[in-house]
Amino acid sequence: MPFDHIAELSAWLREAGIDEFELIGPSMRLRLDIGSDQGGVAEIGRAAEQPAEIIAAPTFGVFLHRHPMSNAPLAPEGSQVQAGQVVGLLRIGPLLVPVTSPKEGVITVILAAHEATVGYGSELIAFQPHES
Amino acid sequence: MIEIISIGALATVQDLGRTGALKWGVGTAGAMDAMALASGNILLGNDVNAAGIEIQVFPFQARLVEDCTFAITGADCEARLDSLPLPPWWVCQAEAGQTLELGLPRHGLWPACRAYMCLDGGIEVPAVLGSRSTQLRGAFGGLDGRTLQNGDRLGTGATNGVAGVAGFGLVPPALEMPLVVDGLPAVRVLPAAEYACYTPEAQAAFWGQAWRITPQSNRYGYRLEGPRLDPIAPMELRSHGIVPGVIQVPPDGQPIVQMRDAQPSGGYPKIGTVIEADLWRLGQAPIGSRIRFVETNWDEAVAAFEQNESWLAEARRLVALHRMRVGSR
Repeated sequence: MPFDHIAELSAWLREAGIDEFELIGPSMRLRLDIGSDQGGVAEIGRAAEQPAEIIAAPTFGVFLHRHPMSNAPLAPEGSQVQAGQVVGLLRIGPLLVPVTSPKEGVITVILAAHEATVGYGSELIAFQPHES
Repeated sequence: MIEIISIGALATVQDLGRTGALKWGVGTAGAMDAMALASGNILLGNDVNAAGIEIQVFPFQARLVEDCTFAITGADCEARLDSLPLPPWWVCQAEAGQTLELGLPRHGLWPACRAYMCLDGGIEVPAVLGSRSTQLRGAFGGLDGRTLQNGDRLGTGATNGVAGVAGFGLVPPALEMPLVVDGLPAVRVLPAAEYACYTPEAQAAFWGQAWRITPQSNRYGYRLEGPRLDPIAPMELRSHGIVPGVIQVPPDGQPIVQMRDAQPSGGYPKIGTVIEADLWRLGQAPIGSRIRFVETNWDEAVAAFEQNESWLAEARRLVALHRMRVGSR
């Protein structure tokens, strides 16, 4: 992402009353902290030691952060997950298709909103695998 | 083959019920939540009427003696396969030696009290009068006509051959087709033969007040607590045929709803009948919870039945499509 969009992004966030914004891609990480004591901080960096991975939608559907029977999110940001764990769901009518974590690791950012309609291959969750 | 290693009271083998035998005085039995049992079978690709286990006292533990595919539906009981948490209403593959555990029902967004475990091929027990449901009163059907005990081993019928694709689920129909009045779960009721024999106050209370499910409630019937329902004049009736869903009013004025293990005849006056299409909703209402009755008519009752059938048909269609898509990868 070009650096000259940061000012514009910051202005939008301030308008929307959002203090913190973090975007993690496969190879880079951007963090804007508008509410910080230093009067606003922007960090751009390499994502991490291990490259972050993106969990993509295995099918189209309505992306759910939590099971329809529960108020608790399946895998909130920052949570540790096992390989094969269900971290989200895609709803197609009454059918629920799992979004699973490919490896053991940490959920860093949930990219798609709860109940967002997504297509096959949409980026749903940024995920930091543990070093193996 | 599964082996029960920890089970509370009153777990039974049930299919959708022994219909057509009331003429011989044999009650219907069958799953209290027929939608949950049918959904478990749909998740596995079984016939909807395949037999499963109805569990109503927790915790429950079963050891999977062979590799198998199973589905869990009904109340959300924090199912675990060994240490792996399973989502509710889910179909799952397991290896021989693994243990399935169900904990206490969580009353999150749908208060429910009965869980169902279905297996690929259905639970194989002899069909009696066309059904594998346990008939407790007659001590036949199910496993030796009795409730399940620790150490019981249950085999399955021939695999249906499609359950190899697992790891997905369904949204419970209670969330897809909610029926709520003043914040309480409701069931639709047809006025029954003696409805007109009750005072206007009793009729108004019947529809307008909440009814608590007392601890004297089970698969035979639910004894409810609420305002006293008085007839205009005392009634004495001869015993006559009754079906699950009939709401009788004994002389104490507190109604009893006949459930799946109801006897086929009774002599109390009948104020209403819970429609067949809503019996599954009542079958999941926990003891101590409160429900409401909503007046309905024949046409609406038939439409409600058709709505259940089309929900199940749509679930079956989407499950089959998903299997085909995943299986072809």
